[in-house]
Amino acid sequence: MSRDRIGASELLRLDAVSMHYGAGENSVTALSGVDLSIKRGELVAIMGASGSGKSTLLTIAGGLVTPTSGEVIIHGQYLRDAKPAQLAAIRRRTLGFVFQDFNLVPALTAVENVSLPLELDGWKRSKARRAALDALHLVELDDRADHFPDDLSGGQQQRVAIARAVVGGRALILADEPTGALDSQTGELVLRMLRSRIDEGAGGILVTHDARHAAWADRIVFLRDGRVVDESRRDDASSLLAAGA
Amino acid sequence: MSESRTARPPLRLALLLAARNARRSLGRSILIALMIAVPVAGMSATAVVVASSNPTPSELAELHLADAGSIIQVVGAPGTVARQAAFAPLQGYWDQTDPTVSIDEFEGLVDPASVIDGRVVAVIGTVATLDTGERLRQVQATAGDVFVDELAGRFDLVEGHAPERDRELVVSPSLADELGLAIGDAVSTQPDGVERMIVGIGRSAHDPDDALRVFGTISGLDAEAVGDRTFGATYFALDADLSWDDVLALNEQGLIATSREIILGGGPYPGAIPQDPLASFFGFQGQFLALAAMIGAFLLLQVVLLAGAAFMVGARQQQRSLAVLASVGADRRLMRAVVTTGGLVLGLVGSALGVALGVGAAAVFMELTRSGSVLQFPGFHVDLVVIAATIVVSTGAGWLAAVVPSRVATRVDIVAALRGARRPPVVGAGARRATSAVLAVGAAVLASGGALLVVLRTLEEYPPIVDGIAVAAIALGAVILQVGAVLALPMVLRSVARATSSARTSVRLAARDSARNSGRTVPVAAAVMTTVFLASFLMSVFGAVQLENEKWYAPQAPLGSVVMSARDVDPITDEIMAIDDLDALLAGVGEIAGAPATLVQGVYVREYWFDPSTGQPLTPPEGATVLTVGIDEDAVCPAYFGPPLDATADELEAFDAAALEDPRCAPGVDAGLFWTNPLLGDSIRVGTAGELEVATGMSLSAESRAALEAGGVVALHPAYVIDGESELRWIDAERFSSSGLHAQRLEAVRSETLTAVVQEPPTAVRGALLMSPETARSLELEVTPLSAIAYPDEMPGPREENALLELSRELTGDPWSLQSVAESGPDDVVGPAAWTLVALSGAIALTASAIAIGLARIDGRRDEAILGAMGATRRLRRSVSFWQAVLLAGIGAVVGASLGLLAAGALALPGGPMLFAPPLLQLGIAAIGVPLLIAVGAWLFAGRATALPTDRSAIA
Repeated sequence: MSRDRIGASELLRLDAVSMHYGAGENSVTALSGVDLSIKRGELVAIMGASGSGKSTLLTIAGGLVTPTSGEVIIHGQYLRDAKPAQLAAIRRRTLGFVFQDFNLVPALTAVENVSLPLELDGWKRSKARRAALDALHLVELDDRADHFPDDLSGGQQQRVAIARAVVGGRALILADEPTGALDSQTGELVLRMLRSRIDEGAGGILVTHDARHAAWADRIVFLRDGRVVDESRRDDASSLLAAGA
Repeated sequence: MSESRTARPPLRLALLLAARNARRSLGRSILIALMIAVPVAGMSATAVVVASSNPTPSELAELHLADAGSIIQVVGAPGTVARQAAFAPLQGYWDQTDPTVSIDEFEGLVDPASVIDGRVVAVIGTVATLDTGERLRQVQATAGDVFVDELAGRFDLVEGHAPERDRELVVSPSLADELGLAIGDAVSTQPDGVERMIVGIGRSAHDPDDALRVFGTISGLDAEAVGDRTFGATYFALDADLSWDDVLALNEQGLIATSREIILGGGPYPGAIPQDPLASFFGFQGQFLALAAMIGAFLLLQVVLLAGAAFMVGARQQQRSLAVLASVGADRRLMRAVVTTGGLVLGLVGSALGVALGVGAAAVFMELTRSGSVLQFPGFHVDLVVIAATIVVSTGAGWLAAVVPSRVATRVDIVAALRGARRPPVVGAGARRATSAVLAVGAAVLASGGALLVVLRTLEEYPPIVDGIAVAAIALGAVILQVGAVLALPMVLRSVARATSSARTSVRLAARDSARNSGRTVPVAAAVMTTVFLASFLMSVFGAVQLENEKWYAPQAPLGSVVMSARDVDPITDEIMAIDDLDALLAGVGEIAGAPATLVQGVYVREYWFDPSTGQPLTPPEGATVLTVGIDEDAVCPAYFGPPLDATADELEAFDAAALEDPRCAPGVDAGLFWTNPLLGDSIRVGTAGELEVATGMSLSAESRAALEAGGVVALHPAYVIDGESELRWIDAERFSSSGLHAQRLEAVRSETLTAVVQEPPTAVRGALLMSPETARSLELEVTPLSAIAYPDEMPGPREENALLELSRELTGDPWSLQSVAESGPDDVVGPAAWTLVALSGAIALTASAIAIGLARIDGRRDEAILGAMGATRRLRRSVSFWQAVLLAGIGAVVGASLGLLAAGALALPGGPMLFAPPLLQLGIAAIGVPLLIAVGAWLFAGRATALPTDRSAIA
């Protein structure tokens, strides 16, 4: 496989990524030859039916799972070559996850959840806390900084998760159904904030099965049975989705 | 790409998360902390009690010297003391210049009063027997002028005045109560019978409150000759506070001494025996502390297992949080650190709590058990070194308990965990291979130890250490087998789950939950297993000790009986004859036993060995004979008759060696044989069948009764019967007492042969034959009263023994004149110990199972809620808990008991150090009863249904 130099604005690239589970007759293909590129300021929505490979793609992009074949390159770093410690460092410094179930650490306050990757990266506690408070300010949660997740609403928890995903200048946001557990109004608010962070120079993947949410993306990639079956720009996608609707 | 900037996981973050997680799961955290706190409390309490039993230097001076300056002891003649420990004679020892010389051989002992300036008080410890006319007591006695101002605090006069004359006594408060004495009362001392006056009530501060002690003058208590005033005497120099140089000078005089100045001065003490820093470790208290440490270590092992299970559940519940940490860049070290730090935090909290509880418990214990002696607890001392070590070890145990769960936690599927799944880890083929290997090694090591024991027995000579190696191999093999069993448990649980796949729902759910969550269930089964293993092994050891005791035990009378001789030595003729007042004897024995007493009669045998009045060899009257019973020589140990008179040294050695191997010479085989005590145990008992049953403590069989009625005899040992007959042999008394041969080897001057049957009593009885009065009459035997016997409802003990002494004094004027015994059999070692072990192992197993079931409920809350939502009844929940308890406690107990028996059985192989006699009842209860009890408890205390969580975050 060729190892082309990644573009300066390119945050993430997936080259011919395939993922198989099991072996022999029991083998299941979750992804097959997927190519994908994310640039700064770009939000790519991944859509597809349940079991189409959306979440698998996201976890591979985040370095949580190593693909069976193909390459994942984040900021020029080939993940296949990375040691566990380097993968952990990438997750601390470069990318942030946003999950449907928020996945905040219940034992930590909002600001502690947000400062967590920074502290893990060796930042001084005071500096990490300042950065976390700045990130919470961006998602308009300054006043809830010292609350525990249990004391926050679903929407507030998801905004904390977004703040955690972008804190410390991390540029790649990987969002897995971030509005799945929220009502539509709160979901809209969360997506607006996500879009806002992207517009400020981050890049991201938004896994969703909701066309209205996909409309917040710049591009939409459609997966079926682990393959990219269609891809469109936002404007095209809007009409496409409208037609589909 | 830069490397991580953090070389190690941020401890603050791990601590923060651990502390917050502990607070969020408060119930589980309290459980773990308490589990750690319990052994720590026990160890801390023991450390405080042990330390408080040892005086500090200032306490030592206060306890022993009061306001006196020095304390001195005579240990030899001048020039015989090489050196002494600085605090001897209070602590430490001294060396003699010639250790082979006994103190009895010394001449020219120096009186300390002659070499010490100022006043010296000699205090001599002895014993005295006080007789109030109604009660007789032998008590400790202190002779000397102890009630002086300088010894106040060491000896205190509570009331009255100090003894000034030989016929004046001071008694301790308890002795005054015991004998009903008051100042002004008279009491006589025995055996001199001198009447003395009580002039005061006083006590020694070293005595417990209930001590029976009398104080008097040295001559009054006849203590002048006690030990030549050496070891039995202590000398207090009231005015002289000796320096170390003074002590060295006294050493040259054969004296050892110490003083307040020396004790409080802190040294140095040139020429003294240095204090051994390990002396206290090897002393009784050190051993006690070591025993407590071993028990504490065992309990901590249980804690590691059980807390490990709790941490496993905690780690499972934290899986999502840990996965989140991983998703934001935490590496495995931090994930592990979060869990292990939890162990450290809870270990530390549990340790601190345990220390606080232990110190408090020690204070309460000391107060409750305070005897009144100042020596018991000279102060309240907290041994910081032991407590610090305990905290370190127990905190380490908390950490250790969390290590395995922390490693399992890092092996989780992060993606699945982020989605809320809590999949149990999978056991690989490697683990199975390792398990088989460990089991094989354990079995091989154990078998090698056993085989070595058997082989060693066949060798004539071998180094003694090889025995130890064999025993150690058996112990090590048992431990390795246990480790293997723990490793095998997950597979066993899976097999059980498979085997129960078609069983009813509750059994299936219980088995599958146990198998799928081996991280939680195995430690619990392991805790039960190790506990029951230790209990069953120790029970087997106690059983072996009991068996050994019983084999060697020689009963004095039928088991459970109270017996007093009816014969006394006539003070005028020195002949042994029956006392006059047999009715009083029977009434007295009956009253003591609380049951009717029966008179036992027998044939009195005069042996003519010695003159009872002079102790000199006796020349029997012309024609006198001694009645003996013929013995089947093939049935008894050859050693009984002794080696041939002309045997050479080699032949003697061979004779003794043969006896060692002869089964007829094994302990217990000849119990009850050859007793010839003319006072209590005639060879021939005479009476009706009923009287003989009472005399022997057994019911006579129909055959025995028929033999008695037909003019035959009942033999109490097979050796007294040859070809269905017993032979009475009259031996010439002079030859009997002077030939040096056993009577069996002497020709009888008369003999009578009687039809005989054998009936051995359940416990050996002194005597050879039972005979009816008619038969005795027909043989012209002299039948006389032998003893009074009664069987109290409860096993007799010291109370009955004391009462028998007093009865003897009532009847004869001498407490020891009429021999008596209250026969309670050999001490029951195994009973109390085995029941204690059953209780302890049951308590630990109950605790472990309660924890297991509690953890299962926490861990399976969602499953249970789903079951509830589907309409499962409380009965199902009860049933699942019941079967899970049966499974875990049952497997643990059965495997533990089996391994314990295996180890005990190996040690009981021929050549092994113990017999194999496990107490089956207690063992059965520990192995089967306890798991059943746990299962019933699990059934009864199955909790209420859990509501199904509606918020997915609730399971995060």
